[in-house]
Amino acid sequence: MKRGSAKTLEKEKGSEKIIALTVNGEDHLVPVEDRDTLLDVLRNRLSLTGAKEGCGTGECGSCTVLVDGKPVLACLTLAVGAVGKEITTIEGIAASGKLSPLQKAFIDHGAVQCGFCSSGMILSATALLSDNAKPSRQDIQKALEGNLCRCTGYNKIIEAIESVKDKK
Amino acid sequence: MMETIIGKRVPRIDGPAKVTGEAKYTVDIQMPGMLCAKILRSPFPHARILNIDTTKASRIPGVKAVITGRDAWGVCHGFVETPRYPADQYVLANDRVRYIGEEVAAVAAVDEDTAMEALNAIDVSYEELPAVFDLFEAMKPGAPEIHPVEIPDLIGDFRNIGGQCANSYGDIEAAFSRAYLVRKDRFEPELRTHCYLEPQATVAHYDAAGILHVWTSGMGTFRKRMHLSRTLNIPASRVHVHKSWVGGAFGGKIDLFSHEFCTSLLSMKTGKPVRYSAEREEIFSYFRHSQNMIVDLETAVDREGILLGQRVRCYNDCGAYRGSGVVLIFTTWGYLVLPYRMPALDYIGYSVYTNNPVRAPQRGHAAPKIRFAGETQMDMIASDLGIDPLTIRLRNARRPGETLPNGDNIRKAGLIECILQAAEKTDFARKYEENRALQKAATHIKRGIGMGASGYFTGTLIYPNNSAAMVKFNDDGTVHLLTGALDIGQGAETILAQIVAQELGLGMEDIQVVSGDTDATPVDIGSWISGLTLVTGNAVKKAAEDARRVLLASASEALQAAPEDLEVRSRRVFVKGTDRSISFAQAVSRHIRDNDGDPIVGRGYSRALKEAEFGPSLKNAKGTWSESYAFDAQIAEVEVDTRTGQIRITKAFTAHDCGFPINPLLVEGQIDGQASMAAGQAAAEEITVKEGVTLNPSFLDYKLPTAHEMVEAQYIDVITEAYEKDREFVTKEVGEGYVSGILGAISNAVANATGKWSTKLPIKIMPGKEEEE
Amino acid sequence: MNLPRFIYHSPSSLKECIATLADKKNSAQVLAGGSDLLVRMKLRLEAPGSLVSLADIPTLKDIVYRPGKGLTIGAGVTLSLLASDAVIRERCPALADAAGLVATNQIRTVATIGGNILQNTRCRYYNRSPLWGMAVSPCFKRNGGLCHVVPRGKRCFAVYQGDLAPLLIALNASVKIVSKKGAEEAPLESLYSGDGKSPFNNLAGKVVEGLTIPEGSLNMLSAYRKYRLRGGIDFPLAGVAVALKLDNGLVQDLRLCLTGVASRPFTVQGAGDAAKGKPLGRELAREEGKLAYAAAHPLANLEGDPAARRSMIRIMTEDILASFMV
Ligand SMILES: Cc1cc2nc3c(=O)[nH]c(=O)nc-3n(C[C@H](O)[C@H](O)[C@H](O)COP(=O)(O)OP(=O)(O)OC[C@H]3O[C@@H](n4cnc5c(N)ncnc54)[C@H](O)[C@@H]3O)c2cc1C
Ligand code: FES
Ligand code: FES
Repeated sequence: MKRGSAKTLEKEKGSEKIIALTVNGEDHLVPVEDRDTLLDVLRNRLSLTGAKEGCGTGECGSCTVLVDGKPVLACLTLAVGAVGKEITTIEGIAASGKLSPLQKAFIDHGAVQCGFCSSGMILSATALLSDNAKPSRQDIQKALEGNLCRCTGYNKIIEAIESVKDKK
Repeated sequence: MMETIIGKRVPRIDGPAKVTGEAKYTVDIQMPGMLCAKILRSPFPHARILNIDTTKASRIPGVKAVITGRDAWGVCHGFVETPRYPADQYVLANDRVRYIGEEVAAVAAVDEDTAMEALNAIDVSYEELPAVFDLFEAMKPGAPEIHPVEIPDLIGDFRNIGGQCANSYGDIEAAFSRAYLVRKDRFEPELRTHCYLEPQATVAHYDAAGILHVWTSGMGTFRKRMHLSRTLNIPASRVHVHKSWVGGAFGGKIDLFSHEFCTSLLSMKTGKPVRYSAEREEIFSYFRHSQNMIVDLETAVDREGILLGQRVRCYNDCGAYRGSGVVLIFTTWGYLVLPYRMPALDYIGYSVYTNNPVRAPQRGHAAPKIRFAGETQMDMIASDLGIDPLTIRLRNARRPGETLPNGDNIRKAGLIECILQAAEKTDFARKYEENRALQKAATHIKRGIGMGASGYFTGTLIYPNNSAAMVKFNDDGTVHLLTGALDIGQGAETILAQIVAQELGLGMEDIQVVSGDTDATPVDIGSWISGLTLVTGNAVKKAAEDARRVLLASASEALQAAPEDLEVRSRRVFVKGTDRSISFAQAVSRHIRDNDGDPIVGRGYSRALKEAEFGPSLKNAKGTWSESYAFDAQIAEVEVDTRTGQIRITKAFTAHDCGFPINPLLVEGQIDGQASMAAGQAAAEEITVKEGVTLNPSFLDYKLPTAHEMVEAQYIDVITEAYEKDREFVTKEVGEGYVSGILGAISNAVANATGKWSTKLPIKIMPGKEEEE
Repeated sequence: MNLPRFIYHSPSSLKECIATLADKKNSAQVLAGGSDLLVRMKLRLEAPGSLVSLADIPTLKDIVYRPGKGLTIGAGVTLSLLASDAVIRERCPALADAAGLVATNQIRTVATIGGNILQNTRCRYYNRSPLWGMAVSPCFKRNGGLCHVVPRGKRCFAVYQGDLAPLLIALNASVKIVSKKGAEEAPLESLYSGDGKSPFNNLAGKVVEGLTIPEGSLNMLSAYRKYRLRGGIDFPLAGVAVALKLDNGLVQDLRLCLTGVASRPFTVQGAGDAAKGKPLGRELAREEGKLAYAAAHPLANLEGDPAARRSMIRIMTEDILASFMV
């Protein structure tokens, strides 16, 4: 091994620590650096790749996850700051393998095309419906304003959410 | 009776994987020991590379490989690679860079930080060269030469012409001298970009056996394989492009991209898996923008508004390399003559090199640009002549059975029907007049309604030209469909599975689709040129029919009945009109037993333009282009606040002749997406480039629609074809054409509201203008 | 896209927070919701050695109304809470509405009022990563020697685009600033330097504990309007806040503050004097609109045409005043 490499390793290890994260109801001990975002940790350490990185700078919403039930951007959340909170990712929505009514509605209404925005969309909508069982169309648009979708034009996404709302 | 599944709103089969986060896109692929690749780009728009020193970079611990143009000397690729237009783009810059962001070197390292450190340690010395960014400047004698090109039949004394398409027919002089009215307008649609949500990414792994495995976010695996094999100089059979889920493309992921080459080469050098994933800002700045075009449209009409002839000049700034520019100027011609009869034409399209970033097709490619121009001018002419927009279109629209100037026949074209129905369903005529009367009214909220029409081709010849498919019966009577098709979000897999289900009387759940893998599946044209449903769909239909034929032969012996007397449903073969039957599983096992172990595998294949040897000529637009043309008429309704300049697109109505919709749910999804893209293009989206630098490289700065900008969409199908047993079916494209009609419709609707036409996109209305005036 | 390395601190009291900041001197920065700071760090516009998080300091999340004193809002109150909290809705609905116009739902969930007033200035030549910056000569704010927007300019013209400060300033809000030396109360407006490059008057080592809107302002009519090209996500290309006190239909006090048009929240001088004693009506609206228009000088450093932004300042000023007439 070359001389410098041991040093690099040390530099990295220096700020690494083990934290406990509660993701989808399970506790995980994960090694992280202070600078790691929740998105990095979910995707790279916990292999939960349902949350996507569409931009990394807070503009697309494809990294949306729920923290204590509220939608946040995992790309702008520090993993160390998420300790002690309930994190829900898309992988935690279909509890015991059964699709949630919203997930099902997304499929049935054609609200999914390429699917890259879908995890974030579904989590934003899940949070909305748990806060407000009968959102108006404007409420839905507002709740989704941070979730970009280039494929669907949003029509069928909004339809899908409205169909679930109507059943409630 | 056979149950029908064609024409049903079948939910997409990849839905569950996508709503649960299970679907693995390229960036989601993780492999032990995977290296991180990064690309060093040119900071100059035009420069000679004097030297690249990578010694420092290579010595950094954790850096596993560094590659530069020296590793790919003279290796070029192109969207088009023909004798007239040879490949002109380097996979890694050799001795010159021609735009800001051009790829100069690439590294693979153990992690992102180390890779970045290595990039910073690469020393490149450049000698700057004069650059040119304006296409008309670039055309002038004396402009800096970007490529040494020669177009032998060049019309005019121009420089930097990367491509030219010229086509004239009819007596153009006579048309203009006979004209009652001549209008000449310049249209300037903006530069826009794709905004696929999934960033471009590639994973490559060169394995111990010398096979290069590639996962990449593209639009067709076979085309990528061809490009990789050519540029890496390894046989296609040693390149295995795997399927990965694709998070949107819209034309922006067709070409070979430098990072796909670099990631592959880095893996070949290191023997390790390597991943490259582009940052969003990089994509906005240095990947492909959409092609842009300036259109000079001079049109002669008679007193009734009948088109007599057109002189058209189109200027495309293709950026530093040809990309799809030379295709754009050909297809522009196509969309110019497709919807309306045009007795005489003088057309020249130029594709011009500049030092701007390279461009790619974007949904509709030339169509939105030329139809925006054509539809807007159509309304201007109507207004000049005191005719209404509906009448002028009906007078000029092509009728079924007409032949296009290139000899293609448009067969059962439903354009007239689309225009009539769209107008009727939206109460167009009444609203149009009402709004016009209110243009001068005191209120600053104005309403407008506008119409646009368009046509689109359905599949043409371009590598790999054909699609094939296999349908394999499993022991339990279900099937696997093997197709090279790649679902990029449009629902290709679902539609193909529907066809198999229909042919075999199976349920959707009985069909597993194996797709888009160059080793495991037969060849496929890919998810572009709008031909997938037609070409691949027919290949799949034939494969399913083939499998059914063999299955019925086996069942016919077992049931002691002629195959013609049999029918399939619910995984069983029945003797028609009786309840005598055997299960598929029994028929399959019987076939295997009686045929020395031969399982049932159906094969099918298809290609566009069966009669033609080549696709149309990019030089003069001669030759057949497509066998099937789709048509649509669209109506947009807008609300314009003339005080604040805000344009709200409230409704988009589409009447379309899509042949017949195999899956209306998916067709609607395509239309919604296009209405949204068109709304963005009409009112807000615009890439700003200054001296080769993109000034708005983010989702915040580039104004693609959010949920607030949702456009309410309505549709009606004009059905002109049918799906029949044992016959090839004719579908028509639905994924690209509508963006054009609706764009024209929006532009005309704004004019209907305000009395003013915009010849530029996005349409901008200056706030406060009215009161200040 | 990763972040540069730093050390994370999460003090559980303000005191501890101040001590940590003092200890780290210039290398530490306060982290609230992170929706401004973490993006800047990802773009490598900033690389503090330490981040001191306010998340675990409960007292920063209080919203308290004291009759006679006014409304005090902790710096750590999130914009979502601000938009929905019953006390805010009752006492200062304009602030709740303005908070709902910021960014996106996910961002409002974490973004704080403190971070909002202290968000950095922005420019299309500045808020970019080195991948973009490699091709563009560094401007003042990137520690270079020129401004791409005002080529002959001697300073940085980056724009302040916060949505809340103009309204808070129009409402005469004060901030409580805590440092090792103790606590001080200052007018919110005094925090802003007006320089695009370093937009805040010395805040190093200090923490904003909260803001107070005085009782007198809570009785005023107030509103904020925002011009942007899309219905959500976008920063204001121009924004207008007005606070108005009427006495028998005549203007007693009027304050007008703009955002998105200068390197600071921009108070329109003379707006109040021009209005004093006049009846609230179309005429006044037009006059104030003209004043605002004359005071605003948007530059070509954001998306959107500067002339359009300037006209929108006038139009929104008129519209706000018109909305008070009903
Ligand atoms: C996509 C996107 C869209 C946006 N749109 C808008 C918009 O429309 N309108 C708008 O106004 N903003 C917008 N923002 C910016 C940002 O989200 C808001 O300004 C937000 O309120 C910042 O709050 P925060 O808590 O996240 O701040 P942070 O990022 O945590 O902090 C911002 C700055 O303030 C300092 N700071 C924070 N709190 C304190 C304190 N209590 N004492 C001392 N210093 C402190 C930090 O050190 C940092 O320098 C947008 C951001 C993004 C990413
Ligand atoms: S990746 Fe987090 S918002 Fe785009
Ligand atoms: S489905 Fe493709 S981005 Fe939403």
